[in-house]
Amino acid sequence: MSSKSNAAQKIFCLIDCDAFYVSCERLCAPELRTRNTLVLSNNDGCVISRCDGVKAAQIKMGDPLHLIQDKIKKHNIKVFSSNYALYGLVSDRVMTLLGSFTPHIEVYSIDESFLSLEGSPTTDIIDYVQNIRQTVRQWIGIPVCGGIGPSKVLAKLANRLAKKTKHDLKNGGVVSLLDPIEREKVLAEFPVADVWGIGGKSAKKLHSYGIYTAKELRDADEALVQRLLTIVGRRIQLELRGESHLMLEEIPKDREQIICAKSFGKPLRELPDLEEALTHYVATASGKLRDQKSVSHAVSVFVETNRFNDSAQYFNSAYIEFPVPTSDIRTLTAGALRALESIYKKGFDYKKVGI
Amino acid sequence: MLKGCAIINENDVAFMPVELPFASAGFPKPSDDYLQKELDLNGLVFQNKVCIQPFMVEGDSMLPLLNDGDIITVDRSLTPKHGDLVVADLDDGRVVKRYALEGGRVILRSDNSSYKPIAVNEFEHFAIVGVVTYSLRSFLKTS
Repeated sequence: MSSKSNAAQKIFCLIDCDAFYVSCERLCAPELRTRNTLVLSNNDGCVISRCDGVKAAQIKMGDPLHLIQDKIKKHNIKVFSSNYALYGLVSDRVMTLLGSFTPHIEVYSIDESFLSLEGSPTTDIIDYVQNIRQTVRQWIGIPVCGGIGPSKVLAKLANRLAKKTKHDLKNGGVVSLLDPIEREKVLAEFPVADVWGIGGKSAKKLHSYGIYTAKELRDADEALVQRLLTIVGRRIQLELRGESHLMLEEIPKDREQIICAKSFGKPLRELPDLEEALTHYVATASGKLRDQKSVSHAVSVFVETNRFNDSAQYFNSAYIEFPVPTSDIRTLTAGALRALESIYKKGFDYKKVGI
Repeated sequence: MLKGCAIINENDVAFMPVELPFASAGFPKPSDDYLQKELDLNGLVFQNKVCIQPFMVEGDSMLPLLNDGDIITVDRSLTPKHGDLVVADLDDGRVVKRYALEGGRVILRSDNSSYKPIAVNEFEHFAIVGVVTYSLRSFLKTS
């Protein structure tokens, strides 16, 4: 279908996993393939992953458990508490496998990666990405979709569209927006609020200027976009035009210490709860790391109880070095969780964990 | 003595007196012609591959080959050949069976003759998870 030479333009592909945490749980419980399933965060019991049936039941991301009990009964929904150890292992496998298709990969989150496919040995990019999709599904058991575009924003947009055909296991779940003519139709119908990088507030501002679709943003007055959304919005506008301004973030230099730690309102006792909090801090810290274009050569994790009350006291920390400096969120998370595991002791009320 | 059997020395490490593909550090023993290598079970079975998934066997349908409680590893990247042990998804269940191609149809057979063969076309959903590569069995009786 695609007849462009791959050498001429950049080709980004966003691969992301369908309902990742739910899919991981289904790996170990095949009987849930056809049953509505959702995953809750450990600490506060909010929905963090939903299969399609759960979405159709009007259960939203972030809904707390106690508010959806009746829907759970009504739709026979299987509920899991998050198991980050499992998700990290599976994510590792997915990203390693994606990395075997191209060395130019940016692991964007636990379940999404940007691949750069220009110069790949194929004239049919859609076929190639479909092959990636089938391989991930067969070799690891995780369903994914692929969005292809000449820029990251368009690849993300294409991925959104790809989700609509994910039920077609053979030919669906992959959309390419490399062809500018294809893009015209699609962008005219794509809500501007769903464009990557356009949040609720920005969307409202744009709406007030009559900009409702991705196409309208793309074609809007550049000075207006600069005024409303700053340089960030301008970059998005250029990316919508097919120009690549956001680079693939592979690994750069420099070191510093980034600390991310918070005290808990209520003390936590269980390892999974601490793991969840820590995973969140690692995500924040690794974001900071990437923002300053740094990599980390080591991670240090500490835990402490509340030194101001009378309960039993315990403080400890652990330090893990990486063989290769990294800003890769999954490497940082795996290292941090290993460190935490080595210092966690049962029976204490932990007031603080940090990295 | 069987070829390739493990010899436990007083330091409690298993040495295999055959060449294996994954060997880590090895050193020659004066009386032997070949290197003795340390058994890396993890390397042998998982080979650092993303497509190897372990499962635990339930039931007796594959006796005497597989017992209830055995651990098996499956290579999800392999396409089964007639006679292979496979793990397959059928509707909402997952089974380990012997893969057979008979007259162009896929039949899943149990080694235990008390079980009937399965014709996969009788199921709405059929998918091969992968081909069984290794099994692990504990011989210690747990009370």
